[in-house]
Amino acid sequence: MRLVRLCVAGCVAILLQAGLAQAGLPGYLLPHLALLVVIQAAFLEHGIQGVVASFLVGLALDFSSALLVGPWAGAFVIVYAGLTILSRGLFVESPLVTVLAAFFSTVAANCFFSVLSPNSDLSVLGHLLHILSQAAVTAACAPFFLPCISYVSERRASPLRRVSSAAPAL
Amino acid sequence: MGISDRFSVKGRVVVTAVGLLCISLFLTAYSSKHPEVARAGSAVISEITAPVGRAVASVRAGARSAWSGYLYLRGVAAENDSLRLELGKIRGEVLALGELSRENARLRALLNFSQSSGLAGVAASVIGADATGWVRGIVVNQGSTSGVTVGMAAVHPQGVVGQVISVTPHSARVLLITDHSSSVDALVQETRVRGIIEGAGSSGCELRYVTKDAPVKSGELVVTSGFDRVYPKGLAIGRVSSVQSGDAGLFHAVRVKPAVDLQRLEEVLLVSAAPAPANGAQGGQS
Repeated sequence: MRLVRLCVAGCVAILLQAGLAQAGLPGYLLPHLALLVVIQAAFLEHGIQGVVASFLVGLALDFSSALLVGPWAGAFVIVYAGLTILSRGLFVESPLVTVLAAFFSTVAANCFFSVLSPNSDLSVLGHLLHILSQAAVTAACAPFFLPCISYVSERRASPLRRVSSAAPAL
Repeated sequence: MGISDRFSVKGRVVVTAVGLLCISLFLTAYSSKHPEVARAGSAVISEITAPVGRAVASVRAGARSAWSGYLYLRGVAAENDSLRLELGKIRGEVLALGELSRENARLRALLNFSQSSGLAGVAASVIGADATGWVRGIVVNQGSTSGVTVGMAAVHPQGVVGQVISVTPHSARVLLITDHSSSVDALVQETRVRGIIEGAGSSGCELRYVTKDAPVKSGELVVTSGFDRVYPKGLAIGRVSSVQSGDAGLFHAVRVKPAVDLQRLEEVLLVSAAPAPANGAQGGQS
């Protein structure tokens, strides 16, 4: 059930991204909302269902571009696995943690995508500016967007359980 | 959940992630050699998302019309409500008619262009854009049921827009000429110098493989050569915005500003692949 919820949340996020792009928002200012779904899934410790959902959401994003299949799927899996390992011991409901996680996750995912994508003509500086600006916008959206995803994907989980699960095991 | 269970869950997540990562790398390598895989998947996604795109577009248009018509008049004095409401409705209708008139003019221009250029094609409206921000592409509202096929050229009365890269029954995805994966065989109109137009993202396009002895100047019009059998010959691509000739290398660095404003595109004409011109480029170089 979590898997389905996460996939639905991811697809909605992709549709929102597409809507923002359609509204004329340039690529470097486009928030990576689908990645925020992955980040929230990692924070809420969805386990194997979470990593599979991340892969499927990434695959949907790959298909939406019609060029290559796999780069975003791989990037999302890396972000999910990385955050699952790193989020233990963090107070994941702190806005600062979510902002930092969103920023560095977007940088990591975009770097992974850039390595595998065919856009080799873009200069290194161009890549860097694109990645950093998109990461900044995504990080700015994270504190507002993550609670919405949490509501959709984890309605029955109590906040107490999530906070305690994020604390170091005694 | 005990410590061993937690580590066990984390371990399983890592093992699954490594497996899925390998699958994604394999898919990347496979789809780079077999683009039909990406197109097939994209067709499914587009078929699902195209109605949403249309709904978003119609909601936007409705919201704009409502704001201009009814909401614009809210807050007026009570005694003038009925008159102002009437006025608002009329204004709304006028705005809607104005919008229709402008759309009509655009479609008429597209039709005139189609007739004058002899290009038979399918007129389509833009209903979406790429969601990732990395690919410069648009989604249009005509698909295979209207006769659209992969490889068709998307053109506009002002010039070339891009190429259809995937098609569903009711929508198609067009890769813009400014995308880094895009290339068009081109000629400088005046001097007939030949080169390849490649996308350069937000910078527009670049005319590649033009040797340093070829005469190319800023402001010259670059048109399609027709040799790529995708774009009909003689369509405007853009104007040369700068020419740089460094000491190293064999070729000029020629920047081209697209003739079409790709950010404000609303309708395009999708035309079939053109046969290669018989006479070739006169005095073509590079």
